[in-house]
Amino acid sequence: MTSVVKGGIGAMLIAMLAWTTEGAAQNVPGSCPAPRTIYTFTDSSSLQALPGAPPPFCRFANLSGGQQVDLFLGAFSAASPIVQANIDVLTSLLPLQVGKTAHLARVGSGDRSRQTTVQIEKQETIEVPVGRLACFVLLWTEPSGQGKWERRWWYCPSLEYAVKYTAQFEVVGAGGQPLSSQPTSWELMGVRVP
Amino acid sequence: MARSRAIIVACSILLSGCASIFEGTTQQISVNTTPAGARCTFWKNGGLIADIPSTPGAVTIRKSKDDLFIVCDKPGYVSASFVNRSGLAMATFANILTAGLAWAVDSSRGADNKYQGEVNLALVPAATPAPVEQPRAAPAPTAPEPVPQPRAGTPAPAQVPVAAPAPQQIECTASDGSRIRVAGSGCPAGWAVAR
Repeated sequence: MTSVVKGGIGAMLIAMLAWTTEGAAQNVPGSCPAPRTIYTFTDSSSLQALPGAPPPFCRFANLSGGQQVDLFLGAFSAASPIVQANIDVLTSLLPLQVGKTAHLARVGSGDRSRQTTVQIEKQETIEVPVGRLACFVLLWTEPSGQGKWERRWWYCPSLEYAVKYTAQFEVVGAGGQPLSSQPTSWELMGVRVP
Repeated sequence: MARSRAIIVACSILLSGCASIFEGTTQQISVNTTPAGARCTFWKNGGLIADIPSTPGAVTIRKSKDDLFIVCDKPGYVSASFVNRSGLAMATFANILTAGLAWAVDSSRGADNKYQGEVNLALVPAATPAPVEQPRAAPAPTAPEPVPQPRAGTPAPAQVPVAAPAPQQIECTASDGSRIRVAGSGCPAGWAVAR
């Protein structure tokens, strides 16, 4: 019994070591989910992987709405002006490594104090409905109006997609108290392999 | 007292623009979104004070010096927020998600309201799965159902089995210690069937 426990702990430690040392290596530009793989999320939306996206993007079809989208790290859309303008900066995050930060130049604004940043905040193994996954947490901080958006994606190299997302807006009110929106979120609920 | 006198003097000079001061302590704020059907919540001093279940709609709120923070959500669209600055004609609203867009709007009717009386928000379709507001008391997650809803039309009943067989579930592991359940022909590339 003891040996079984030790063996299990050993296997877990090896897996964790492999995660910390090889997790980044799994994430290379052009690495995308196999075409026709379907991801289903807790907000009832589904995405199907498609071939043909130019690196570093991966192409998906939104089965809920029918539109097609090219995403980098399962989060950043090629159709977004700020992503288009900063794709070289964003790809500098590869290979993913905790602490790396990309400072995105906002189109039409030279105010650095209002700069949007994407940071590899940490590594985290999380439980979502589909299972337990080792992920990198991508933190997008975006000044907006009198406050800022903080959005987090849990990007998992093993699935080449984000399995969790949260977003919250914070603003300092007139009395100095922070106001926060209710967090919005979704998680990966299912994977279907073709 | 001195402030009231100053207001009266200012009104007598300008002959307009001060009506709201004498209109009481509450104010109606209407919210329109494009598309309609968004849920909007109103926040002040960190607390939820009102909500519109489905836009277009309006709420009556108490005027104060505190800023009003409005968040609108609609499934399939990016959450949008609006900071209604107390006493200011200018307001900003922000949009999130991959578009990374933030822009200011000024649809204020002027300084006759403590807050901007009409808020118009354009919701941007979500490029990634739409962030939807989680219920405050969410039920415990049910067993994952990885089968997407079919989009094609339903075949004629005579050709459809009464109950489709449940898809095969496979337990898969990855070298980084990840472990998931998938449906389909096997594990994703780079994964192995769990023993």
